[in-house]
Amino acid sequence: MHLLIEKTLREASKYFHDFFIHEYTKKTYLHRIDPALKIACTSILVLLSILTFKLTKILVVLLSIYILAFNVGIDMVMLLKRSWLFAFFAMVIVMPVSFLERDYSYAFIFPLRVLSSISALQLLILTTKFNEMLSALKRLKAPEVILEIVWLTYRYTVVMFRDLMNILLAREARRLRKSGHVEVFRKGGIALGLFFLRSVEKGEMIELAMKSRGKSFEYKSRYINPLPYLAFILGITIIWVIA
Amino acid sequence: MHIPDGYLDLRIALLMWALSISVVGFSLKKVSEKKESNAMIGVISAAIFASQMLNWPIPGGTSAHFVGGALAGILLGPYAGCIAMTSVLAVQALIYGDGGIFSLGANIWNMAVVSVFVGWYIYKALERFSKNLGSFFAGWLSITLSASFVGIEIGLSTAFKYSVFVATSVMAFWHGLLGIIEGIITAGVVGYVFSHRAESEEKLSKKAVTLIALLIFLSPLFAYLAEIVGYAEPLENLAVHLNLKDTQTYNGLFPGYTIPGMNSYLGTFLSGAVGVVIFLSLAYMRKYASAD
Repeated sequence: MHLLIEKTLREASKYFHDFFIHEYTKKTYLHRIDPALKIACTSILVLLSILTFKLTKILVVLLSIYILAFNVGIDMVMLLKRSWLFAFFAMVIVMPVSFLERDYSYAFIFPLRVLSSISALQLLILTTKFNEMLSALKRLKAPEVILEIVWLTYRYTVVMFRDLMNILLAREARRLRKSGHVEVFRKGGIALGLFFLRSVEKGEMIELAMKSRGKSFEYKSRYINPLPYLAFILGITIIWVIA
Repeated sequence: MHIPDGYLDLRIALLMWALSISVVGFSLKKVSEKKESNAMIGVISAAIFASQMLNWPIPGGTSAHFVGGALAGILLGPYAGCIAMTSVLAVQALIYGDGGIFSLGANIWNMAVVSVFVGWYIYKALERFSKNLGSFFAGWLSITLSASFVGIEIGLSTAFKYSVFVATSVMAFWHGLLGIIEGIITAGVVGYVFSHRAESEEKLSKKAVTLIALLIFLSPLFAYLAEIVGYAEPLENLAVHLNLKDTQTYNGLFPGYTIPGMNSYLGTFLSGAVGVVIFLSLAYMRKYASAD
């Protein structure tokens, strides 16, 4: 059980690190652009990344994402740190087939496509608060029920995670002797069962609380003129077509 | 199991979006009709999200984590479970960048549709024998089938150079092994929760799905019989007779109801399954198009 706890604690610290880091505290030009426009432009950047295998085109998109990030003052190391692992993983996956078919460029271009599209998405995440994003999706006519559920998932993840940790630590505190593997699995199963049982009960309580207090993820903000941003995305698209 | 952007061809990503939207839309309608608690779905989603952080060490320096599709289906029912998993995947994509924007449709299909509905139906089919057995197989097979779908989607994409056979076999094999842990956890949690809250169980008719599943499983037999009797399309026979040349430039995703590079019977089976899913989705859309 102690191995599981240690592993969980490691994952927990990584989880909290990721969870809070996305709420990037530095305010940049991109933060003040309408999130609905940012979602649309990010989709264009991802589309430009995945529609081609031509190296120059992919590099145009990738470089422009990092130039955009640098220009508005986003920490580029952080952007790269949050994107490289997916690309590295993609490279490990495609390397064997690339060598088998003697198409060595594929092992480089395929991960670059992934890096480019992930970087575009991470740039959106780093510059948009989650409630802003949901509010924008609501304006784009996404179903309200699903947005409300997504908002609740986001809000209660930290709470539920703390509950899970408490249950696991309580189990560990009550343990008097070293357990065998079967015992560890059995107790782990009971702990997780208890966790889901508490989740069901918490869900009922929250529903009642929401009925009495009301619920909303509305976010109102004044956004600035997006023309330079739109011109930049249009410029990249034109260069991509010409390249 | 999350597919990032860049792995799928755009046409496959869009097809998966269309399929997922139709099923999630139908589930939303069902959830609204039943007036299910949004708070309950949201909190269970958060709980599944948190439990996905529990990594179980695997010999060889890697680890596997719980996915929870079958568990969501069994605890909340298939429709609310589908919404819960969709919500988890949306948060993962929009906050952590885990899974891309264009591939989110495929990720929803694999983990919120296939995993939840398959898990739920397996559980319902086996619960009369044993609830523990039912939830174990639901967890195990749902994750294996989800992984197989990932293999089919990336294998059919020209951007991904591995053949559909290799991609599907690798994904199914490894997740078939790792899925045993998913099955054990699902059985443990379901047993514990239902022993304390029996009223949480959900019921749904499964006659139609059983019939469709039976027809899909029989499809390779028809392919075999057609081969024995030397069946060909009458127009093809006529074209051969008239010495006409084949000038078709686009052969479709599944030329001749097979999957390129795959055993012809398995190809017939899988292409049939994909076709049925497309038509079922269209039928659902048609049925509810005029409702609201």
